[in-house]
Amino acid sequence: MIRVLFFAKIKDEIGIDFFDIKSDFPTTVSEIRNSLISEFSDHEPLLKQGYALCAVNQQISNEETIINLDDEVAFFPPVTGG
Amino acid sequence: MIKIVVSKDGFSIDAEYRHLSSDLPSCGAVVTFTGLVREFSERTGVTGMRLEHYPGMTEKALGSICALAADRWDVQRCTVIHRVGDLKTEEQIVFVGVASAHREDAFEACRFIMDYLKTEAPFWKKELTEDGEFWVEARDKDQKARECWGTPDSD
Repeated sequence: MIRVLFFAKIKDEIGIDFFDIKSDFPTTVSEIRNSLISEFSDHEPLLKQGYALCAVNQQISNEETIINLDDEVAFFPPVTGG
Repeated sequence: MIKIVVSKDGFSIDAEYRHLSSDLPSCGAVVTFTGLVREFSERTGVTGMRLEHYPGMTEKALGSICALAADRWDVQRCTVIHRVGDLKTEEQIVFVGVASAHREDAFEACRFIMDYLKTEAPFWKKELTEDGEFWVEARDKDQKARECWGTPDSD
């Protein structure tokens, strides 16, 4: 199982700040993204590649980044600080 | 040498300037930038902002941005402060300060840190207006400013 953290608009719109996904390991960002999109299909535009960024162990990742058991995974919108 | 603060608390530009410049005889220039909450953004009638962040990752990302600047320019000291939580218009939201031997390095590094912060540090702004609360969307202009520095993405 992997715990995915949500932030900002994604957290607000889906209405939860984390979601636990059953998965075999190792997996990838792309596979986790697809699982999230099937789970929350009403929110696909917020979760799809090109909008939601994914961080693995607090580093911005790409679709091929490997995710292992106990890695910290987060999905969030493009950043808007400053 | 690098000071990173992410906090709900305000900050004193004077105190931060002194922290950057005191007991540093080789320092010839201090450049500071302060960002404020303004009353217009994507909408008019903005009364304030709510700043969310990703605790842990935000501090790491800011530290990495400062380290990148220090690799590229002569940076003797560097401070980044970013506030989170609810802020009203006219309040200070972000501070970047760089101390260097020369003004060119201090100017460039300060601008670089700010441009990177806007596109790489996990903060999200929500505008609080008379008509409700709205998440701010990322702007191409900020991405272009970051790309002008010509370095590859961190991933």
